[in-house]
Amino acid sequence: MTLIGYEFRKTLYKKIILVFLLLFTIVNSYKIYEGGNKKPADIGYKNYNGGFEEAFQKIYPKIQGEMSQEKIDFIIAEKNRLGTLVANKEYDTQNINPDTYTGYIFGDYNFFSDVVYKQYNYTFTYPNTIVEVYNKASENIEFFKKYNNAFEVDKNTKIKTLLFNREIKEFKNVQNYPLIFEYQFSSLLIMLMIILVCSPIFSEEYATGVSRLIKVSNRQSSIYFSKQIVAAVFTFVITLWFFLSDFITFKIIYKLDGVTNPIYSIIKYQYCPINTSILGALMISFLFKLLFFMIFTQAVLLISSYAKSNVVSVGLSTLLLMLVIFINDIVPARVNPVGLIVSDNYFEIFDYVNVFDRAVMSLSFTVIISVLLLALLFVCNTARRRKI
Amino acid sequence: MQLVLKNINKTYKKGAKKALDGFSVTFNKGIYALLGPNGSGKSTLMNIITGIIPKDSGNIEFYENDEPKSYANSIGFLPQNQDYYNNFTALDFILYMMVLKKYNPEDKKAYANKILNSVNLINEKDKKIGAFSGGMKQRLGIAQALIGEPKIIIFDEPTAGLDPKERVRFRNVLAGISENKIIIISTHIVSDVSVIAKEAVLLSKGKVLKTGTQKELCKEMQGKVWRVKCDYPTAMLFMTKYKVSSIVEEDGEYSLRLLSKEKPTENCENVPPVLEDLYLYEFGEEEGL
Repeated sequence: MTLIGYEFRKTLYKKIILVFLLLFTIVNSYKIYEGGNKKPADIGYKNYNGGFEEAFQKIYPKIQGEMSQEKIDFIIAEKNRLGTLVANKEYDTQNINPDTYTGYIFGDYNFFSDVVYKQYNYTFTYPNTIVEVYNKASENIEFFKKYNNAFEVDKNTKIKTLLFNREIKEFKNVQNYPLIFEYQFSSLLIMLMIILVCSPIFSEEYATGVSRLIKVSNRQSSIYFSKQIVAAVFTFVITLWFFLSDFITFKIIYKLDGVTNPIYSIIKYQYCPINTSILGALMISFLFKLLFFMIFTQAVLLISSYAKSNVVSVGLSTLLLMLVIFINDIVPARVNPVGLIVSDNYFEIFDYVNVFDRAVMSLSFTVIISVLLLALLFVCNTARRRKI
Repeated sequence: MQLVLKNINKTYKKGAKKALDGFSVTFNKGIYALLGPNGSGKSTLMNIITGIIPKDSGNIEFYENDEPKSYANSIGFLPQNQDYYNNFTALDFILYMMVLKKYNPEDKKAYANKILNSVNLINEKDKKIGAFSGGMKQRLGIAQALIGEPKIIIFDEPTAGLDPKERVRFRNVLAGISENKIIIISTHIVSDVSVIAKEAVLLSKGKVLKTGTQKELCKEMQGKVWRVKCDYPTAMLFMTKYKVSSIVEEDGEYSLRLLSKEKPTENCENVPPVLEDLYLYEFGEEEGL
């Protein structure tokens, strides 16, 4: 076994890690399941009565897939038919009707109007909606040119480029995806796992006194870089683990579909400043989280390199976690790496900042600041490598 | 083979008293006992030789066949109060230390087993260190210090936590490996080293107080060590008046070994001094004896 192999064994070969990993995975899945009634506000579930989800699954096979006139006609005909029945008060609110989607005619009417028609109409008319914004951006360019406002001209040009030729070819069950992008609980669990695994990485060497044997061997640098590799690999794996755990649990509970659809096929992200698929957005979300957790890991390692006991290291790292939660509430998202945990903010709105009259996406700032912070912490840790 | 320490100085904090004050000594092949009370600079000296802490000034030179050489990769060390990774087995730890020391024998496991066998841990090699007693951990520490057959081996309180049987075993292990090596043992238990140490270095306040073979060192104690047989009240009186290195009771009679320049009483006999007597003579007051 190599030095890195032994570092993996030192750090990860502990029953408590497996116990916490399993416990946290179960708690995480339960948390997602428990939040099952919390649907995004703008997809027509405001009057959600518990039957809409089942109703949607009943009708979904008929309307999903490539958009067609036949499907549009079916939805409009059903909506009109149900509207007529409701207008004529030909419905029963007491007994369940097995020939309906929701169990009741009135429920079907609300379901068709608020959910199916709204979502299908959004998908079908998206190119028209976006052309309006595209044209507005063109007008803005002309307007701001008159006033020599280079920033606004650049911003609107970028918006135009971004929105050009946007269309949604297939109707899929994608409206609940924002729940994944908004979900934060697993991030807390990831940080707790990082504290559990990474906070003793250096402090254990001091606490046991093995650091003296390492010094005598004169291999502090090799040990340090091995520990960095272990910490980085663990952070990657634990982030991936909970990312997949979130995705699979959400997919099962919400029966998510259409991962290859464009991100703007989700109503909430109709003006998404990134042209990518939902899968691409998920990957971006994963990378953002990974970047933040790498920063967190480096900070925990720095604490560990100063702490002379595991208790002190875990205690200070927990304080750091509290600080992270506090920072998230008070520091503006543009300069706040903690914001990378919730990628929902970045997919929802255009947010550009003026940099020497050029429009730069605010997301770029957050990423640059985060990368610089990561590099700074890594340098600080590396400077202490001889102290092991 | 020689390890030459020249005028080593070390102060931990500016203005504080020196932990090592112009310390100079030459170690040749063989076992050395490093003796001194707490705070005399023993641990500082060992930490400087092993490179754990830097010295403020002075030189450390290592010669082999009169050629100056680096000893950085040929040093074994057992620090005081050493602990280990609880989730490792004894075998894991020895294999890990072999990787750390870049020691690559052909059959690594066989070598690790041999090392563990030398400290009588072979039957516990697959046990987690977390389940080890203090004595077993100490033996593991001794084992790791022997890896790679280092030219210089330094033990800081190696017999602490070992039972009498293990102490004998430790002495035998050292006797077996001491050929062509410099072994430095720091300890408070003088009897553990007195039978194996070729020479002793006595430290006080960061300086060499005395150095030499046991015979040389004990020479100045000739005529100062007495054995007295007496009753209990007289024994108590002697204990308040003289430095007593041992007291044994047998059938109501007390046999005392004490230090005195003058003959303490008519009913006593002069006995040959040993290293322990010298230690008591030099450091008895500092050690509160």
